[in-house]
Amino acid sequence: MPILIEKLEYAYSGGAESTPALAGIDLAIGDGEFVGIIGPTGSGKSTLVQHLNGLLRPDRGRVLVDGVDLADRHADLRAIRQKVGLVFQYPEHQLFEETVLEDVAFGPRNLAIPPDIVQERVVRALITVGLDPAEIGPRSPFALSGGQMRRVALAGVLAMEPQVLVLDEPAAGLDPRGRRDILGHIQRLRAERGITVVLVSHNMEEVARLTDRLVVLNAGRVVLEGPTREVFGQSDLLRQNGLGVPSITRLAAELRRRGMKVPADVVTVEEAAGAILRLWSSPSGQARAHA
Amino acid sequence: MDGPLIRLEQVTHRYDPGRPDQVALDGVDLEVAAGEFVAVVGANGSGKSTLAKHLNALLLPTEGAVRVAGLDTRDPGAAWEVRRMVGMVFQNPDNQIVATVVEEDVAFGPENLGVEPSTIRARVKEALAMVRMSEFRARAPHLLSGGQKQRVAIAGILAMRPRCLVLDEATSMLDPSGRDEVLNTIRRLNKDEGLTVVHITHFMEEAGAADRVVVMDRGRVVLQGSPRTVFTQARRLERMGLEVPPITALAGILAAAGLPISAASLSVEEVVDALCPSS
Ligand SMILES: Nc1ncnc2c1ncn2[C@@H]1O[C@H](COP(=O)(O)OP(=O)(O)OP(=O)(O)O)[C@@H](O)[C@H]1O
Ligand SMILES: [Mg+2]
Repeated sequence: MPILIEKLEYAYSGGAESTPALAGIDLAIGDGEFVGIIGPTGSGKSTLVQHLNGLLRPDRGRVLVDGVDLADRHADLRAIRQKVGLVFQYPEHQLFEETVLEDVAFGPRNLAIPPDIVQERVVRALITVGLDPAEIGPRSPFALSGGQMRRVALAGVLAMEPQVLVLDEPAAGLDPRGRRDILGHIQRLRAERGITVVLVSHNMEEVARLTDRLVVLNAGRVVLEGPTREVFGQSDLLRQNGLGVPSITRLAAELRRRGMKVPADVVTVEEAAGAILRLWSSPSGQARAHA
Repeated sequence: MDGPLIRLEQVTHRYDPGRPDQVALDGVDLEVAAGEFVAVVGANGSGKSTLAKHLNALLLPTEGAVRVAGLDTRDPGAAWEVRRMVGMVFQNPDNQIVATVVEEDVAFGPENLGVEPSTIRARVKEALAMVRMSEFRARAPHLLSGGQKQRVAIAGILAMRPRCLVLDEATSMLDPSGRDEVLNTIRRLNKDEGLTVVHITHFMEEAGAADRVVVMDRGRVVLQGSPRTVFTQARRLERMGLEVPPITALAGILAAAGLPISAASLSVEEVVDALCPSS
C-alpha cells in the first residue's frame, strides 16, 4: 500500500484569507515505514493527513494510495478507508454509539466479518489501549474522562486492523503510561505485521523515539525531510520553523558547548545517560569536567 | 481573608447515584492558599477534571464540602460569586471562544455579570495586556493559533477579576511554542498579579514549574509536595501511570551511578552546571 503524493494543493473555502493550507506537497511513503510529521500550529499537518483516506480531496495534484487516485470520482473510498485507518486530532468526535463496546465494534462490523471475530477484535483493541472491556465496555462513551474517550476512539480504529495507520496527535490528553504503552504497541504492530504508520505529533521526544523518517511542514510546504536523527541534528533550522528539539537533545547541545563531547544526535534519556557515563569514566572526561 | 482560598473537606463524588461502586472522587481533602500555583497530575480517569469542576461549582460534592473564600459551593446563592472568583480554561482552544472579534470575546464574561460598559472597556484592555494580546484585539479569533486562543480565553476570565484560575489540560492540544506561551502567561499572572493557579497537566515538565504538585490516583490525593520531593519518587509515580520529566529521569540515572548531581534536578541548566561547573 505505498502512498504517493504529488504537487498536492488544498485551500479551505470560505476562509477570508486565501492562503492555501497546502501549497504543493510532494511526498512518498513506502510500505512498513514509520513516518513522523511535525510542524508548527497551522502548518497543514492535519489537512495533509486527511487526504490520505479521501476525507479531503485535492484542489490540485494527486494522492495515490496503492495506485488508486483518490481524486478520481470513481475511486472506491470505502475500500480505501478500510485499509487506511485515521485517528483524528479530536477523536471524541468519532464516538457516537450507546456503549463503548458498540462503538469499537462499529467499524469491524462494516467489514462483513463474522460476529465472533468482531467481538474478539473489540476486546483485543480495548485491552491494547489500556481499558478493561468488562468494566468500561458497557458504559456510555460520553460518561468517560477525556483520556478514556480518546482511548476508545483509538480502539475503534485499531479494531479495523488497517494496513496504514494514520495518527493525528493520538496521545494528546493521554497520561504518560498510556502514551508510552499505546505507541509502543503500535510500534510492535508495525514490526509484526509490517503496517505503515504515519504519526503527527508535537511531542518531540516521542517522534524521536519512534519514527524512522521525519517530514517537517511549514506554511503548507515540506521544508525539511530526512532520517529522524539527521533532522533533529539541525536544531537551528527546526527553531527557525517554530519547532523545538527534545529537552535531551537541548541538554546534549549545551554540554557540547561547555566542552563535554556528547554526540549531537542523542534523543532519548537512555542514550544520553550512556554517552555521559562513558565520557565520565574515560580519564579525559573527568579531568576536563573538574578542570 | 484568613485561611486557604479553597478548601475541600472529605469530598466524594459519584456521577451515577445508581452505581455507588463507581466513585470519581473518594474522600478528597485539599487546600489551596491564595497566591499559590498548584499543579495536579494523575492517570486518565483518576479524578482531575472532576476535582476541577468542584472548584467552581460546575459539580457539587455527593458527600463532603467545598468552600471558596469561605462560601459553600452547595449554597445556591453562592454559585455566581464562586464562578466569578474561580475561572476555568479547558483543553480544546476551539470550543472556548464565543465571539467573532477578540475584544468582544473578552467582554463576554463581564457583560454577563452586568458590569458598566465603560468599566468593561477598561477591564478588557487591561486583561488583553496581561496576556500580551493587545495587538490582536480587533482580530477574528478563528485566525489565531491555539496558544493565542487559550490566552484570549484566559483574558476573558481575567476580565471578571477572578481570585483563581483553573486550567484543565489547557496546554494539551498545543504545540510546544503554544504551550510555552500559555505556561509563561500563567506563571507571570501568578507571580506579578498574585493570581492563584490550579494547573492540570499530563506534562511533568509543566508540573515542575508549580509551587506544589498534587498527585491523584483513583479518586484520591495520594501524594503532594514540592516538584522536587514529588519527582524523586519515580517508582511510585510510574506505578500510577505517571513518570518524571526526561531531564529528571536522566539526573536520577547519573546520580545513581555516582556522578555529582542531584537526582531531583528539574532543568537542563541544573544538569549542565552539575556536570560542567563553570568556575
Ligand atoms: N460525565 C460522567 N459520567 C459518569 N462518569 C464519569 C463522567 N466523567 C468522568 N467520569 C468517570 O469519573 C472518573 C474520573 O474522571 P475524570 O474525568 O475526573 O478523570 P481525569 O483525571 O480528568 O482523567 P483524564 O486524564 O482522562 O482527563 C473516571 O472513572 C470517569 O470514567
Ligand atoms: Mg480530565
